[in-house]
Amino acid sequence: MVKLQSSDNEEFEVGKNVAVQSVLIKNLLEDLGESEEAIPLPNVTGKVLKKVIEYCEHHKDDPPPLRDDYDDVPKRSDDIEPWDEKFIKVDQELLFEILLASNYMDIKPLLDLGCKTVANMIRGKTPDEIRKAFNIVDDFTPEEKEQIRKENEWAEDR
Amino acid sequence: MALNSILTNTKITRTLFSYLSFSDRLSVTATSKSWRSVFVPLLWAELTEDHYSLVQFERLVSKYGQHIESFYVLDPDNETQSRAIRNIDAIINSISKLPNLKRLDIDNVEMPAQKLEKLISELKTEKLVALTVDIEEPTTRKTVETALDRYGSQLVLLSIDKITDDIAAALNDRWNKLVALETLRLAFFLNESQNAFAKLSAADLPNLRMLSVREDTNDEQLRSLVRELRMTYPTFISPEGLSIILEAHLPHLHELHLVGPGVDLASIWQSSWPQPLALRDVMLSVAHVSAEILTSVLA
Repeated sequence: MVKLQSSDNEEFEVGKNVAVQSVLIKNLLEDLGESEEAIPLPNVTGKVLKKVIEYCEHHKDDPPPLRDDYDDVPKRSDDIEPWDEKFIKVDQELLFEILLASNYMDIKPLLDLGCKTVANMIRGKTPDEIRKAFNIVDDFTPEEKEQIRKENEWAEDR
Repeated sequence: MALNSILTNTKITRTLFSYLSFSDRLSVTATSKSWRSVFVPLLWAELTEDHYSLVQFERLVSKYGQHIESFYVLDPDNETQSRAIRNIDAIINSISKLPNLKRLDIDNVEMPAQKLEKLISELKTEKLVALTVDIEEPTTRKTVETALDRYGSQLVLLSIDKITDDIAAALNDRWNKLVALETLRLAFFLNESQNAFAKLSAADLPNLRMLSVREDTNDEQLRSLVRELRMTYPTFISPEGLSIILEAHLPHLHELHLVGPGVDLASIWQSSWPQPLALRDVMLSVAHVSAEILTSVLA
């Protein structure tokens, strides 16, 4: 078993096969060896760490993720499995916290899941609709907006 | 709060961007100043076919040139691109000025060899790591020499179409420079006989993982006739050269594409090569291939 400690001093005990899905923890265990001491995760709160562990528990038997090959074609974001879809259905603040934690703990499949979810929230929306969805302030002047509109204009018969 | 942290995290924004369609990518650049500052560099880092649909394409290439890492110049018959590129000279001029260009793909483009030679000699970038050259006529020897002398030690991908004796000579003088090369694609020109691998030694190309060697013919009828009638098809890929590169690199190749209707692979293949091979992607279209070879490949 491996002990993990959140930024707000909450401790979690998880199986090694669950913990090593985080490349950060895997490397720490390899470098420092296993210990009774809890591994501190100063960038992750207990609430977020609990969710991350829930994800890693569910995916503990998955094969290791493949490395990304060079590819400039947009990747699919509509292939989220039902369990993952239910898991990631959280409020925006928690979704962003999970994204930051997955990046910090280096859990690629969770990072991909979070990014796909945000991409799906953006899909097909106008800039105005995106602002509303993410509570973003429109700070462009009318002139800047017109310039961006022209730059983003596509050939009509494409 | 967390959204701002995400926007300042390069890995997260790049991953998110990779899941957006081109129209969604344009939309996120028009959301706010902070989103624009994050996503415009990503939008222009890799030029795709979609970029050519932008009405102001030529002007924007100049405006956002400092962000462009990958420039894809493709089929001139592509209608979208033909509309976007009203002046190919202006585009070539823009490419030469890109300071951060890492990947240049000139794929099946109707461009005089002398113009390509000029472009390669005038490239401003010091960062080029991937080069694909496929124009209508054979590339000049000087083009290849300039590219390899300047970028050879850092290139990870090199793809050249229509290898002539001149290009083969330029390659033979420089194999030892290509120390970082992982992907090599060469297509041989049917009018000449070359041995581009004559001076390749086992110590050259230490990082090669993907090798594609093919004879450049579009004559599918001839190929199927050869297959059907078991006719002899002359090969323009030197068996000696192929033998050298396979002997040196086959054991650690992940990808092998060998298309040479006249190549007698059975005479080149050596049973002493170590097993199992690391190949994950194989395409063989050759004159002779034995059951022993297929067993080795499949193992």
